[in-house]
Parts: sequence; structure tokens; C-alpha cells
Amino acid sequence: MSELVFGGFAYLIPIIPIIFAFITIFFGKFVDKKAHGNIFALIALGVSFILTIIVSGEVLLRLFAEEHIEESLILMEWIRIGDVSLDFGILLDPLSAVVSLMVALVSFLVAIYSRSYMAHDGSPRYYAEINLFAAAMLGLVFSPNMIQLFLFWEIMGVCSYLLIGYFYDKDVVPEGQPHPASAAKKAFLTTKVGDVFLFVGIILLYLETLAVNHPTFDFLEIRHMLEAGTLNIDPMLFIMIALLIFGGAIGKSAQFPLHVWLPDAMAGPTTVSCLIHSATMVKAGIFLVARSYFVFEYASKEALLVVALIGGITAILSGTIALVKTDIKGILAYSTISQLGYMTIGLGVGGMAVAVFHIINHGIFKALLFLSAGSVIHGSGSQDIREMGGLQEKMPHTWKVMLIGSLSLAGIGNGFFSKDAIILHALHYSGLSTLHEQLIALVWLSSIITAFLTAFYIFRLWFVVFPGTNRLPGHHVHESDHWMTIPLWILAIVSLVLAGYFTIGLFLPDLSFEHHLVHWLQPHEHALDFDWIVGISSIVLAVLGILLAYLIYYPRADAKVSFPKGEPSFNIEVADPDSIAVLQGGFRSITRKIKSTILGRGIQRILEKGYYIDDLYLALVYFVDAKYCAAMNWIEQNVFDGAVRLVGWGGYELCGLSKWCDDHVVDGLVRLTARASLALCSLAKTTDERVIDHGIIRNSAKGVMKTGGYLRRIQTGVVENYALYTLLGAIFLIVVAIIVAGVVPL
Amino acid sequence: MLTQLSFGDLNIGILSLIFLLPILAAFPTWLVGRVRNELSKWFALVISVVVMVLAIMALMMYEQPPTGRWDLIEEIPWIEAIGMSYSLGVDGLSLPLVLLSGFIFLVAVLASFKEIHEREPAYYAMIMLLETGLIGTFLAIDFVIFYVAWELVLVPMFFLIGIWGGPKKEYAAIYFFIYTHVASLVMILGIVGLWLESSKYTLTGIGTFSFTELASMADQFGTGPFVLLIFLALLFGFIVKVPSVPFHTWLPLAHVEAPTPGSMILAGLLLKMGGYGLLRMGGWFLPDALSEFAWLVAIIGLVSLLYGSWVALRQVDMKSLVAYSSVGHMGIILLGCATQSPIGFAGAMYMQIAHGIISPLMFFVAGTIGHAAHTRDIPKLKGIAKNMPVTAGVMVYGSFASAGLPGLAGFWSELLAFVALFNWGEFGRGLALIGVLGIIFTAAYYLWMLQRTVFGDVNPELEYVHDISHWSQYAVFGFLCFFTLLLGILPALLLDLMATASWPL
Repeated sequence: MSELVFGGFAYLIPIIPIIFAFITIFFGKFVDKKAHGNIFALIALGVSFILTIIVSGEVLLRLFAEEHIEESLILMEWIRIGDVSLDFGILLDPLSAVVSLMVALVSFLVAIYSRSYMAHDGSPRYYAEINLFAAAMLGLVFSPNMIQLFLFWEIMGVCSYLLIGYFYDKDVVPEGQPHPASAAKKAFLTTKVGDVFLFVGIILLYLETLAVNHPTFDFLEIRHMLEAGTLNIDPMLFIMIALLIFGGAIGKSAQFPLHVWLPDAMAGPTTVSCLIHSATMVKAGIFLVARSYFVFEYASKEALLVVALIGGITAILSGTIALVKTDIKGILAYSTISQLGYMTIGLGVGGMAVAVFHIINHGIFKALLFLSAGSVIHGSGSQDIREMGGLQEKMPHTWKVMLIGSLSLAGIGNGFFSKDAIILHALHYSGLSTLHEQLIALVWLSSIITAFLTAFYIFRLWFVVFPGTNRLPGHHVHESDHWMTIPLWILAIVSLVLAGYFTIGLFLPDLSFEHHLVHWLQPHEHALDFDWIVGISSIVLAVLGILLAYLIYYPRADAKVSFPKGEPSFNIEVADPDSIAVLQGGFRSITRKIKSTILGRGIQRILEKGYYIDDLYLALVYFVDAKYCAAMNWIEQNVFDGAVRLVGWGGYELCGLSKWCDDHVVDGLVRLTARASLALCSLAKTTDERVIDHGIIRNSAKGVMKTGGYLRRIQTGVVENYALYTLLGAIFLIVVAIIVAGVVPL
Repeated sequence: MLTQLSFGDLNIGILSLIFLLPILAAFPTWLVGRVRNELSKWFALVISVVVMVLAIMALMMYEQPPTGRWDLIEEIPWIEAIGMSYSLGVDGLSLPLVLLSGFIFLVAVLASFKEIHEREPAYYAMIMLLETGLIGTFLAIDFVIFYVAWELVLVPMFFLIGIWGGPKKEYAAIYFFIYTHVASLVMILGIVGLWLESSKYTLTGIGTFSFTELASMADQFGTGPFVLLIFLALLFGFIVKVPSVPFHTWLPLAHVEAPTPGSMILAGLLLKMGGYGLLRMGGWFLPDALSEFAWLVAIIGLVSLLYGSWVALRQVDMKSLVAYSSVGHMGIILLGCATQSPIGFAGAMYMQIAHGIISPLMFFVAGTIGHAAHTRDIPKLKGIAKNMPVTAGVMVYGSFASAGLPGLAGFWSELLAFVALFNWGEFGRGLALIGVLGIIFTAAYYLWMLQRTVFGDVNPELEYVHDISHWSQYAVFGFLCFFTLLLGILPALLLDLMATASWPL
């Protein structure tokens, strides 16, 4: 294997549109003013498309020449910290080559188409976001590692958000349709739920590589490790990782139960619905699973069973809802979900290559259908198919290309080959157990019923819109200009050429693209040979669906079509009925009868409400926001802030108490002490005055005087008296002595 | 390599210059403003540009220091009796924050040009004072200097809220001051405790405040009851600043009432002080104690992450919403720190810087809208994209950046933090599985806010509103948006610098 000659150009494929996105936002006002800077998108996406042809073309040519191409180019080292190491680069392999071609083609055609379609509503912002989106999608396709993929994955989500909400200032929204700003938010948040699963899945897978000391986010490296058996992952954890990665795909690729955002996303311009919400971004989920298919292969088959079941449910669920929609973009949106369900089935039954095959085919014919629908909306000024009819005369190009697209979607055209291959894979899949096989059989059943439904609803659309007479008189219906019809014809021709090429492959298996694709993408698998019985029966189913739609909805030349208010179906009055008209009348009356029964009305209602899944989510969101988070906010205001305020209040009150204490107790004590001291002092004073001064000092003086006075009386100076006193004293002493001696024995 | 700037015989270390220039410029700022009112803002702008340039010079001089060491160290013994010195230094943890501080102050001064018209001289002087406090916190490698700088921040912030704030400014200023001051007091108990504990292991038997010495003892501290107590005291001081639930109530109030540049500094830098303290303590000084209490830190982080986003969903005031989103984002720092792994630390540090750029952006958007429409109440605003396309565009950009959009700065921190958390045993894996719900809620409240404010038909009462027109406003938006993108697409710029942090782990 020699190196790719043009591989290095691959960097430019996403970088050029990114640079032009910035140029557009700053200079779009000044250059190409009339088309709001469309020229920048044309240049960027045109160059990108040519480079993609060169780079991917070389890869494909060499693949056809039986070379093994798997080249990882590193542009720069992104981060390296601790055990985390990550590079930014480009991965060139069959998968990226095939898908990038489709993406670059559709992006470029949408840029051309937008010049006319967005002539009135456009702005530099629109083209900048389209450029950024295309860059992100192409970057995602070429991503060599999970983090780089996740980066572009999320940038696409933001572009999708911004473009869905493009008509954010729309004041009048048709009844039953969401406001663009609200739809944008819903789309981003719903996919974000899936993104979180993917985020966790990436981290867990990374940690498993870390556990064996070879930490990497790189797809090829992880695959080589799995192939070499150096990675031992606990089986349960492995299934979980696979399903977490698939969770990302459920969100992005609008699979049940996260499909609810895609119908709402139709609030964006039709070009955006075409590019982002049918041809490219919603394929990113399928692409992700295909890119990391080794995880699913090496994990137990239970993981793939879940994938298949989700796909089966999604396909039939949205296929049935599409039956009752009257909004032209709504029908195509549910159709997209349903077709994505097919791809998921393909992944789930081991047919990764055929799922990728369907990515390509669906990308072409659904882009064709959406752009045709845009042309119809542009020309007729309405989105409601009930208000159309008879556009065949006025729109000579649009009806033809839309017929090609519808046939392809119905399974007659390039869409047939991949859809049939998926059904075939589902049929031949061998499961782990009987239960497993039975469940896969149900998925297969879902896929063939959906094939029938698809043919029916798309031709219901076509028959109501194009033939007959116009039901919206007064409006001037016109065909779109070349900027729009040329991209339509290119897509139609691509679709036809592919159909022709694939048909050749049926007879010359060496030229079969499907066989090559299986050989490139799943070298260990053997491509299933085309099964004529399955193939013919799936064509028969498609024809039956178209026929039924024809019998019910096809208005013949002189028919008058009316939609009575409140009635689910419509009336066709024919002046001069022939045998076909009689047959049609019979079918219509049967349909009307079925629809008017209680069961019929109930089913109609359930389908119109989309199985009430949206209402369920709304109730959940209402609960989380208005009840749970409101309760948290109450706690915040009253408990947490309340606690702080309580502490503050407590502190303040404590200070008040201290002040009171200080004022009354402490101060009182002081005053009491002071008063007591004062009282003591005055007591002392009184004592001093009364007791000491008056009492003691003066009285002692008086006492002396008085004593002196008494004594004076005795001191008479008469000797006899003194002698008498002496005698009395002696007698007293003797008496005392006797008493003492008597009492106290000596 | 040049580490000193010489002016004649006088040698001044570059870090001292960064640290002291703003505070020395504070008084002159006021003085020139007394001469002519508008001179003060130009003077402040020049000083903040000089500080930014000096910080970049410091980055160029910086070389990876050996483990447990800092670079560009300046050490002057001060009070040797208690083992304290004037010492500054930087490492991979603090240098990005010093750069961030220089940058955010420059942007905040620019943001003040059209926002502040009252008592300008005093205002810009306060901003200068604040800058010294903040930068000092990150530069200090001595706990006393650290604490002084930490407390210095409170004073100017108190006046910024109390004088130039909204209707409830006095209440908010006092609430902010008392709350965070009480936390600082608890923190200083921890610092003193650490000093006491360190005395066991020094040669002299005297404790030390030096980061380098403390870091060299990290293994010896162990998990004794006293050490755990020290850890809890420091932890309390830090998580009040971060702030984490349940000690976060000062933040929304302070943000709502602060002038817009004040909010920008508050969210961009003040909260980072707490995160810085936590990482520094957990990684350098008390790693064993952190392992002991990692569960607590992680749970606080997780609760902050989820609770912050739940409450944010119900906010009416845009600034309040962004404030609660800060509570949530700072929770990731705690989660990353709790894992005690290089990846977790890197995630936490990346969040410090990423949030430090994105949240000022969101606050400036909120302030600009509030300025133009005279209300920041989400239900009263509608369809402002029509009349304010630039502001609305930046608001969408900032919202996605804050919600962790890959390609913008916030993503890498979430990725690294969650990788570390998922890798942190069963407990961490469980927390991480709950924590990723925070990502959905974060996207939800931002997108809901965008739907109600930016999109939809213009509210007839807001027909008069017009977009930004002054060059300073363009400059603020331009700088912040540019670095958000730059760190989103070239994470290695920051991660390589951070990797030079010498993990004693």
C-alpha cells in the first residue's frame, strides 16, 4: 500500500468552510449583498466538494483496485496530560470516503438552491451557519478519534439549533406547529440527552483502554486492540458501553424514544430541513455506530438486538404517523425518521455496510424530496397539502423530480437496493436464541410493513399535491428559477444514475457496489447475494402501496377535491365517472367508513398525536421545571438563605439581648453597687457622726466629767470617812476571801 | 534567565512588581481623578495593561521548578521568630491564575468605561486595591501573606458593592462581607493549627508558614485528629469562597447587586481563590487528609453541580441565573479535586480558567442588556436579537460555552473531570453517572433563557433598546470570546503550563 497522493488535502475540506463561515458573518453584508453573502457559501462548499471528490475519489478508486486503504493523518497533538493523550487529525478509509462524497454533494447543492430560496429571508448569518455546519459534518466524517467526532457532533448540534430557530421572530405560527425558538431548544435538549450517553460511553471505553495501559480515543487503535484481544472488558460493561454509544445515535438520528425533536425541527427553513434534518446531520448517529461498529461486534449480540429493536420500532412508528400528516414537511420528517429506522435495523442485524449504503441512497433521494418540497412551498406559498393540488401544470420541473424521488423512497429506484438489502439481512440474521430470532423476525416484519406504508404515504403526498386542480385559488403558483431547479435535476440524475449502476450490479455481481461496500467495510463478512424472491416481493409491496394511494387519492382530470372541516379524509366529486372512478369511489367510501368508526377515529387521533409521546415528555418537563426545580428554588429562598438570615437575625437579636443585659443587668449591678456604696458611705457618715463623733468621742469626754463629778462627792477630805472606806474595803476583801476559800478547796 | 528587574542598584523581583504595582497605583489613581474625573479610568487602564504585560513577562521567565517547589521565588525574612517571611512564587497552579487576574482586571476596567459614571476616582482606586489582593493571594507562598491578601480582597469588594451596587446594595455588601469574613476567621484557625502542627517537623521546633516547607512535610502530616480538624477548618474557609452548597447564598445576592465589572471580577476571580486554596491544600499540604475526606468534597461538589443548575432554571434575574450556574460549575472543581488524580486536578484547574473567562463574559452580557433595557428580568425581555444582534450573538455564544460545548474552553474541563471521576472507583463512577445529568440541566437553563430573552418577537416596550456602540464594549466582548475559543481549540496551551505544577501527590 502506497501513501495517498491527495490525502493531505483532506484537512482543507472542513477548514475552508469554517474560515468562510467567519468571512461570511463579517463581510456578508458588503459582498454579494443581494443574495446576503451566498457567494461565500458557494465558494466554500464548492471548493470543499471538489476537494472531497479528489480526496475521497482517490480512496475509492484505489479501493476498487483492491487496495486496502486505512490512513490516519495527524495534524497536531491536541492534549497530553497525565494519561490522556489526544491528536487532531484525519482518517481516510472507505467509510469516510463514501459518506463524505454524499455530504459534500448535498451541501454544495443546498448552497446553490438557497441563493434563490432564501433570497427574501436570507442573511449572512444563515450562510455562515450553513458553512459551519457543512464543515462540522465533513469534519465528523473524517474524525479519527472519538473526541474529535464528539466535537464536530456538538458543533453540528449548535448549527442545527441556530438554523431551526432561524425564523425566531416569527409572530404567527401555523396552528399545531411549534414556535421556531421553542423547536430549536427542544431539538438541542433532546439530542443533548443522547449526547450525554455518548459522552459517558466514550469515557468508559477510554478507561478500558487505560486499564490495559494503552489509553487511546482512536477508533483504529481501539479496533486493533479488540482484534488482537488485548482489551478485556467485562461483558456486561461492554454491552453497556455499546448501548451508551448507541444512545448518542438515538438522539442524533432521531430514533425512538428521542425522535420527538425532528418533526418540530421542520420549523427551520426547508433548505435546512433538507441539509441537516434529512440528508446529513441525522445520519451522524448511524455513522457513529458504523464507525464504532467493532464495539458492537465484540460486545455480545444483545447490544445489537437492542439496536435492531429500536430501529424496528422507529421505522413502523413514524411510518404510521406519516400516514395522517397533512404538512408536506411533516410527512417528509416522519419519513426521514422511518428511513433512519431502516438504517438502524441494518446496523442491528449485522449489516453495517448496507446501513451505510442506505445512508448514501437516502441522502440523495431525501434531499431531492425536501428540495422539491421547498420548491413546492416556494411556488404555492403553503405547506399544507390540502391547499395544493394541480401543481403539475404550473411546476413542470418540480413534479418530475419529485416523482423520481418518491419512487426511490417507495423502493423503486436507487432506494430499492439498500432497503432491500436491509430487509434481506433481517431475514437471514441468526440470533443467539429462539427469543432473539423471534424478536428479529418482528423487526423484519416491521421493515416490510413499513416498506408498504412508505410507498403509500409518499404517493398520497404526490397524488394530493400534483395532479388535479389547484385548491388555493387566487395564489399565483409558479415554477422556481434555475438556482433551484438545477440542483433538483442534478439530484434526480444522480438518483437515476445510481439506480442504473446498482441495477447492473444485480446481473454482474463483480460490479455490485453493495458487494464492494461490504467487502470494504466488513471484510470479515460475506456479502449476501441478491435474493430475487425478496427483491420482487418488496417491489410488489411498493407497487401495492402506490396503487392503494392511487385508488384513494388520485384525482382524475375533471375531479373536484374538497376537504370538509372536521373530516379526516377528503371528497372527490367526479362529473362523469368511468370504471376507474367508480373503483376509486368504492375505495374511498370504504376508507371513510373505516375512518368514521370509533376505532378508526381513535387510531387517527393517536397517530395525529404521535402516540402521545410528546405529551408524555411535556408532562415530564413540566414536572421537573414547575414542580421539582420550583421546589428547589423555594428551598433556596427559604431554607438556605433563610438559615443564613436566621443566623443573622439570631446574631442581631443576641446583640439586642446583650444590649438589654448591658443596660439593665450589668449597668444595674454597677448602679446597685454604686448605690450600695453610696448607702454604705452615708451609713459610714452617720456612724461617723453619730456613733464615733457624738457617741464615743463626746460621750467619753462627758463620761470623764461625770465620773469626776461622782468621784468628787467621795473625795470629801474627812479622815473618818477614809477610815470607814478602808474598813468596808477590808471586810469586803475578807468576805471575798472566805467565799473563795470555801468554794475553792485549797 | 532574567528573574529580576533592575533599576540602577535597586533590584525588584517581577512578582513583587505585579503584586505591589496596583496597590501603589491606587492612591495616584484617585488623585489624578480629583484633577480630572476621566483621567482615573485611563490611569487604571494603563496600570492594568502594565500588570498584564508584567504577568506575561513572568510567564516567559517561568521555568518548570523541581517537585514541591516554586519558580521566580522572592523571599525576604520578616518575622523569623514565628517562621514567617515575605515570599512570593509561582508554579503551574498559580501562574495561570495570575495571568487570568491580569486579564480579567484589564477587561473589567474596560467594562467599567460605559458602566460607571459615579465617583469614578474612588471606584478605580478600589479596583486597583482589589487587584493587589487577588494577585497576592495567588502569588503568596507564605500563609501570612496569603491570608493578608485574602482578607484585603474583602474591603474594596465591600465598597464596590456597597457604593456602586444595585437597589439592595447595602444589604448585599454587609451580607457578603460578614459571611466571607466569618469563613476567613475559621480559615485562619486552620492556618494557625497548621503552623502548630508543622512545629513538630521543623529542625528549630518553631512552626512555619512557608509553602515550600509545608509542602515538603506533606507526607508527614498524616491523618491525626488534629490534622483532620485543621483540614476541615481550611476546607470551610475555601468552600465558602468557592462557593459550594450550602454555603453559597452570599454569591447570588452579591452578583445581583454588584456593578457589572464587580460581578465580572467576583465570578472570574474571587471564586477562584476558593478553588485555588482547595487545590493547593489538597495537592500540596494535606493530601492524606483530603483522601480521608474526599467523599465529603466530592458529595459537596456533586450537590453544588446539580442543585445549582436546578435553582438556576427558575431564576428571573439573568445575573442571578449566571450566578447559580457558577455554583454548579465550581462544583466540578470540587469533583475534580476530590479524585486526587492528575487528570482530575487538571480538569479542576482548567475549569478555574475556563469559568474565569466565560462567566465574566456572561455577566457582561447580562449587564449590557440590563443597561440598555433597564431590566435584567428574563420574563420582561423578549426578542432582543432584533435590536441588539451583537449582544445577542455573544450571549448565545457564551451560553453554549458555559454549557460545555466542545471547541470552547469549558468542554475540556468537563471531559477531564469526568474521566477522572469515572476512573475513581465505584463511588466515583456512581457520582459521575449522577453528575452528567448536570450537563443536561445546564444546557436546559441556558437554552430556556435564550428562548425567552434573545428570540421571539420584540417586546413593544423594548423597541428603544439599542446595541453596544462603544469601542470598550467591543473590546470586552472580543477579548473574552477570543480566549474562550482559543482555549477551546488549543487546550494544550494551558494544559502544558499546568502540567508544570509540581505535584507532590
